[in-house]
Amino acid sequence: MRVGQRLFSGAMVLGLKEFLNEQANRRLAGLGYSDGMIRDAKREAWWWLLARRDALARRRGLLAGEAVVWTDTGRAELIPVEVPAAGPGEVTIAVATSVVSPGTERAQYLRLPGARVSYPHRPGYSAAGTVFMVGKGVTGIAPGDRVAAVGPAHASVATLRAERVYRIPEGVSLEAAALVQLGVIASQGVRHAELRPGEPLCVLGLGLVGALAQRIASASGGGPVTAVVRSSRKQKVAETGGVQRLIALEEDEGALAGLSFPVVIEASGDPDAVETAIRLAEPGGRVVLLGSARGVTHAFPLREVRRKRVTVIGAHVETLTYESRLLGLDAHAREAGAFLARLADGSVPVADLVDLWVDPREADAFYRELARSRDLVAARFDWTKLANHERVHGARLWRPPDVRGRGMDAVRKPLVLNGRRPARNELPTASPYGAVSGDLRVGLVGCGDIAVHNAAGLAEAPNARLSACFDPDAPLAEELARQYGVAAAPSFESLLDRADVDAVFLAVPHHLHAPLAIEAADAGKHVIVEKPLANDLESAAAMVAAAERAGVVLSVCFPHRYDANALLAHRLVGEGALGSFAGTLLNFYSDKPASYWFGGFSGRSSSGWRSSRTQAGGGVLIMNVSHLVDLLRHLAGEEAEECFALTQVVDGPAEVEDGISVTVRYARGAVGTIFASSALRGQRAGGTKLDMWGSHGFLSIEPELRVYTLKAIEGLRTARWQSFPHANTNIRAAYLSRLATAIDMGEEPDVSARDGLAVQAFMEAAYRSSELGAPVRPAELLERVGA
Amino acid sequence: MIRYAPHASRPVLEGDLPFGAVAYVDADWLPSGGGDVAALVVTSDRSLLWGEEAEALAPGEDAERRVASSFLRLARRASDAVPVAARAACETPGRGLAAEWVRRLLDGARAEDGAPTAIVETRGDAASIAASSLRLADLGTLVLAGESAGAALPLDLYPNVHVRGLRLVGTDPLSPERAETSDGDEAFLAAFRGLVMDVRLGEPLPEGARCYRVSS
Repeated sequence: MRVGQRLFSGAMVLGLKEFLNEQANRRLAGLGYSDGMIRDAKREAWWWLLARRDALARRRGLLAGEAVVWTDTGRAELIPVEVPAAGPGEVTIAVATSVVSPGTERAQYLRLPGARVSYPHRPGYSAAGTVFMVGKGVTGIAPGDRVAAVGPAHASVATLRAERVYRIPEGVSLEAAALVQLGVIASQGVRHAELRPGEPLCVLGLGLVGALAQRIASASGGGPVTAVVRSSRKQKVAETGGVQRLIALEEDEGALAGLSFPVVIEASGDPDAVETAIRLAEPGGRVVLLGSARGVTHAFPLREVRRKRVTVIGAHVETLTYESRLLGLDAHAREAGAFLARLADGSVPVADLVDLWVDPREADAFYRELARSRDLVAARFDWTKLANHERVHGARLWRPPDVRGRGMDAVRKPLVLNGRRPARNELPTASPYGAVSGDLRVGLVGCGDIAVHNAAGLAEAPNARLSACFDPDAPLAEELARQYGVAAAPSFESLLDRADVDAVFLAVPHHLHAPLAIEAADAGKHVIVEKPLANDLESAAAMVAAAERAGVVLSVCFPHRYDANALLAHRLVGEGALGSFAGTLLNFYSDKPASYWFGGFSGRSSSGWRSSRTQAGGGVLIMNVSHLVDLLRHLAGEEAEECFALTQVVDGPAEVEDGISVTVRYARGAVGTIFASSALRGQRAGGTKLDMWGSHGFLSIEPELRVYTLKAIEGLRTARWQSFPHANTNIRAAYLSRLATAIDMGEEPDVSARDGLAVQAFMEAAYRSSELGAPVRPAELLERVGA
Repeated sequence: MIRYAPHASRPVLEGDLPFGAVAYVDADWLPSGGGDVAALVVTSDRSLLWGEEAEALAPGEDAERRVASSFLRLARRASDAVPVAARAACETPGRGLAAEWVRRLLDGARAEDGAPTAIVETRGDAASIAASSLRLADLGTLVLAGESAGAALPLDLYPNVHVRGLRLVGTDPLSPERAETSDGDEAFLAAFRGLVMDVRLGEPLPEGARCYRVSS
């Protein structure tokens, strides 16, 4: 093993690392890896190597857990990590909680001067948990003991030197003890101040370190404390800590005039606050630099320092290392022990200081929030949020490194390397049918293009069936009737008269939806309408009114809601994957053949209604995109507040648009864009792109379901792109079955008449906007038709 | 007001002095990048001017001896500020008069090996203070005894003062006030004239001077 280590070190000296790095870059780029994926793969390989080197050096195995890792500027991820099991003189801890020191980590996250870290970076240095195992020679600590630890980065498992692991005294919680390193920082700062009993003290900044320093100083017999803060938002922290006077500079700029103190502790971390600290020191006073004031103090008052004979004392926690070296003792352990003792005797209260618990899976969202907010005193990662098997588990020493490129920016299909494909997410999808009941007998009206699909859907639905059909073109009805063994009705009226028809399914030209639906409703039949609800909003409103008057169900066939992607997307949105909904993008591409305008795609039923503005109601938007408009509002859970549209006719001879662009504003500020065209060359097969995003995530629904979320959702990794296999389902069967169940149970159907009306209002608003050249609000149109 | 212009070939002191006045400028008070210079000025009406302070000389008092005693007091305070335990490994890197006297007062102590545990910084510019901070041993003491014409300096305290636990100790600035002298002072005061070199405003500064006696 020693030979191996030497070879390893030698290779590094020879620049093998750089060589391998370059080779890896080329190889992976050649395989289609993006820069981010290359970075992820190389990190994995490098950490894999280091973990095994360390494990071999200790003659120990490996343990695995999860860690918060900053993988790039502004990106925090929860990543699987491996650590060597405790060797001689070491302790391995199952971390329960690790404390975020906002000052340090915010500065590093924002890459402030003097705080720039290289990536990948593992933040954090103070934690508490239980001992998982101890190495040889460790005394006084045993597996199962509750311990506080100095140094571990935010991770669920850590192996540390035993000297940096401290047993937690009885009566002290893990949460309090996890502050140990912050307590050490504050304690040594107070010690540098050499406070005399009763000596007044001024503390600049009441962040975590400032507040702890103030409380430790008070507990050490210091005199009255004046705290200087930016705003009075730290009032409560000051009160709990026993601060005698709180000065909020934002509210009283002149409050510092005439004040002076024998001791001033600068804990704000603002380099320019050093000047204030010196000005507040009395002649012969001490100014302790406790906050990590990264950057230049632009006006260090040299004359004042000299005139008042002030002593400025650097008090970074690293000074304990120098002190230990000089004095031959463990100054760190001394401070940690003293701090834990203060927690135990209750002289330093800390329960109020950590105001935010963070699920480690939501680390990225947390750090984004930390970057925005300066009010946070402290936060902690709660590692118990992870399942036990994720927190600490054994790792195989000889497993190969996983360099398959599951990076956050893995926008293409996962690679297959050596026959191994990375596991795709297998979030269980609920059955589109749900609990099934009833037996809905449906009469199909209109046996053309789409009726074929509707009949097939009825045949597959477990609780709905085709009982009769009708089409003015009798051979079409007869063919369908023969195929499904049902009756072909000679007229619409005769179909309505049939006792074995509970509901009619209208798959007829749009302008016929309203008169036929109203007649069916008046006849006491439930009504299903192939989308859209009608050719215009007024007709749609009349249909809804008729159904409500007759007490029958009216539903629009929007079956895309039951597509496996849509179902999973709906679930992800419901579980908060997007956070606050912020926007959508919908593109629909198609290249309709000229024959479409005379008989639809199949030509099964010849008719020119599709090209008529009055009969169809519109072109690509109402004819094709209405499905997706419904899906969007279903997923977003919000209606469009206003829209602005432009339409075009590229091909003709239709009166209806074959291209449309709609800009949408939602009620709570989200924005959306819809672009649809049926005259795009090369797009004959059609194609849809549907994306949604929010404050905490991005969801791509079409063409492939992919999600990137900062929210912790069971079964998903945060801050990673994840895609899902698409399960084929007969969406029309699902729609009809769910509708049949709702009718049987006397419940509102998934797709109600009001849903159809909302979609109709949106489309009408878009068409009106295009004509007016101004935004139109769908809600106003609904009001006008009394809906 | 006197300014230092560090022209590469011909560094000079520029500016104005009251008619008949003489200014004393320690070589360490010249800011490396040029700019206003601190100066102790003796006017023709026998006043001592130091910044905004003014002190009258007593009738018959030797003006130059008074100036010398002010410099000596500055050096004494600086050397007194060095912790006793750090004196054996103390450096005074300046080349001016105050620095020279601090070295003598500290008995020529200097760090033989490694970094000094204390530095007396008689230069008053940010670059010199930063350089001394860098040179100091961890937990070391930096005595601030430099005079600067400006009220404040830009300083990055984080990498050395904060992280390495240094102490910056401010010492009383130079004062033109009369002070009692002791027997031990006489050797310093007697040597003063030999350490001061004459220069006129606008003329090239002589090399190797510890202190300038400046006239217009």
